[in-house]
Amino acid sequence: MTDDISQTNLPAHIKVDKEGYLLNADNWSEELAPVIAANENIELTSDHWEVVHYVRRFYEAYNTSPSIRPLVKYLAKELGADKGNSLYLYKLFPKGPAKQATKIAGLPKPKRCI
Amino acid sequence: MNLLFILNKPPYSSDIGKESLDMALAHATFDDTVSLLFTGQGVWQLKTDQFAKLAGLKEFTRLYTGLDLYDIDQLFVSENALDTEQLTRDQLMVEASVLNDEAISRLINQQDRVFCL
Repeated sequence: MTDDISQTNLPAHIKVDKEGYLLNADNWSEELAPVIAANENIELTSDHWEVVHYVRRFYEAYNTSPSIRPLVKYLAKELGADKGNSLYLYKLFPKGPAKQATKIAGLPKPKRCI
Repeated sequence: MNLLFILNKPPYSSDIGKESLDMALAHATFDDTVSLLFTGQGVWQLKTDQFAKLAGLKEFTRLYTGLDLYDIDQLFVSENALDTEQLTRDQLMVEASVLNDEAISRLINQQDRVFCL
């Protein structure tokens, strides 16, 4: 992915890294989420939004972006096993739920994430 | 494997606390049984209300409250260190088992590997 594609359709003052993660998480707003998602070929449904909001809550609580395992456990705890499982999350975010959901949520790329 | 990480330095005077935590998290990912022991000035890592942001620092220690999500359930604190640093249990952000020196020796002896950065 080139810089141009990751920046596609984002306002010029919103800077992203070469993978499309916002350089400054404070610049995120709900209006940006569908634009970032479109660059990932994802059209946000209410199920996507739910995950995006919980990923942001995770970040606010623990000051770090969740990788897949803690994300699954966190959602299982908060929303139950129907949503806290990787199959469900991969259906929503096929290229990696932790990576894509954190990107859409405007957060840094999770460490230790496949 | 049973792994113990000993954190004996305050949270923000160096990167050692953060690096130890990163290392512990990485090991927990690989299904090792990871325990953390806070001793010496390391007990300050668990202090509530750190307000690191005021000093322009990232408050990485908040992750200590979410370690169960990373399969790290065993947190220990030295009783001796709490006394020396004049901290009480209710000033810690997590529920940790408080151990005397004898219990700490036993804990260390149960491990396959012990790390102290």
